[in-house]
Amino acid sequence: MSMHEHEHEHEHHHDHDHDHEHEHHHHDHEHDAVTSSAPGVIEVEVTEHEEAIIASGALTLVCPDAEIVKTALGREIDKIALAVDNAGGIVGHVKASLISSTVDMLSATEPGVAAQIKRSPDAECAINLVAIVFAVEPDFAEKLVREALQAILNIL
Amino acid sequence: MKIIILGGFLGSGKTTALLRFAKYLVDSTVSDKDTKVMILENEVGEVGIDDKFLRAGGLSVSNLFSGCACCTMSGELTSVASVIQRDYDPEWLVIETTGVAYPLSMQENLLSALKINARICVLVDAKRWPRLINAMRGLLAGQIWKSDAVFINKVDLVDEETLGEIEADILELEPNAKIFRISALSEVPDEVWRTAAGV
Repeated sequence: MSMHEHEHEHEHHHDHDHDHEHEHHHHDHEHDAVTSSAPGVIEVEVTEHEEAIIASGALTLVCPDAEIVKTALGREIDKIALAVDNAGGIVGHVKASLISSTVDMLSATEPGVAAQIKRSPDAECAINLVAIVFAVEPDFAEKLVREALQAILNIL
Repeated sequence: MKIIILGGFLGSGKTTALLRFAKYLVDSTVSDKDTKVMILENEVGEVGIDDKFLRAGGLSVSNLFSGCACCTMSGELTSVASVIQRDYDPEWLVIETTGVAYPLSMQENLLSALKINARICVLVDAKRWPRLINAMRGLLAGQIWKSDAVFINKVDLVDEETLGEIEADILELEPNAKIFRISALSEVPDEVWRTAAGV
C-alpha cells in the first residue's frame, strides 16, 4: 500500500446546529494542534466534547536511550488512569505515541575511500500524550498530563 | 468507493481491529486501482495518536483531529471523504471514529452528501462493558443503534457468563444486531470481516 498523508485543520469555534458541544480551554498557545515547540518544552491543551474532557500534551526531548522514555511513559499513563479513578472519574482512554529517531551521517572526501558513517549519540523523542476522561475537572486532567510529561523530563 | 464506519467507545480496540480489518480488505479485494483501502482517522484530541500507528503499519491514512466527525466536524467529514473519492477513489474507505462519536449521524451525513450508504461496525470492550453500560448507557446505546455489525472485543478477558450478559444487553439496545465475538489482538477469521463488510 502506498503512503499518503493529509492533515486537515479547522477553526476552533464551530458553527453548527447539533446538540453536541465542543469547547476549548487554551493553555500557553493558540495553535490548532498541540506541538512541542522546542526540546524540553511541555505543551498541554484541554478541550471538552460533550461530557468528555480531553487533555492533549506534547513533549520533544533528546536522550541517549528511547527505551528509558518508553518505560517511563508507560508508567505515567498508568498513574494518570489511577489518579482519575481515585478522583471518582471515568477513564475513557489514556494513550500516547513515542516516535524516536537517530541520525546516521555518511560522508566522503575523496573517491575510492569508503564513506565514513557516524551516528548521533542521542535520539530525538517526540511524545504525544492524550487523556480522554469523564467526571473530573478540566484543570485536573490538564495537571495530570503536564505532571506526567514533567516526570519524564525529570528522569533524564 | 464503499465506506465502512468503524465505531465504538474509547479503548474498545478500534485501531487494533482496524489493522486486521484493513489487511483483510486489502488481501481480499480484486482491483486495478492504485489504492484499495484508505483510512480516515478521526481523533477528538488536539494531537493524533492512532494515525501515526496506522501509518507505521503501511496504511494510507487521512486525518481529522481536534473534533468529532459525527457533530462538530460533520462538514469536514463529508468534505474530506469527497476529496478522497475524487483524488484516490479507493475501493474501500474505512473511517475510524472517535470514541465518543455516534456512527449513525456520520452514516446519514455521508449518504446525504456522497450518496453512499456506509456500513456501520461497532466494537465494544467486553472487559469494561459491565461498568461502562451503567455509566455511559446513552452513548453506548447510540453507538450500537442501527449498526450492521457489533464486535464484542477482548473476549479472552471475560468468562462465558459475562459474554452472554453482554450479548443480551446489546440485543436489548439493538434487537437486530449481528454480533461477533473477537479478540482483535489475535487472528480473526476472514468470515467475520467478510460478513461485517457485507461482501
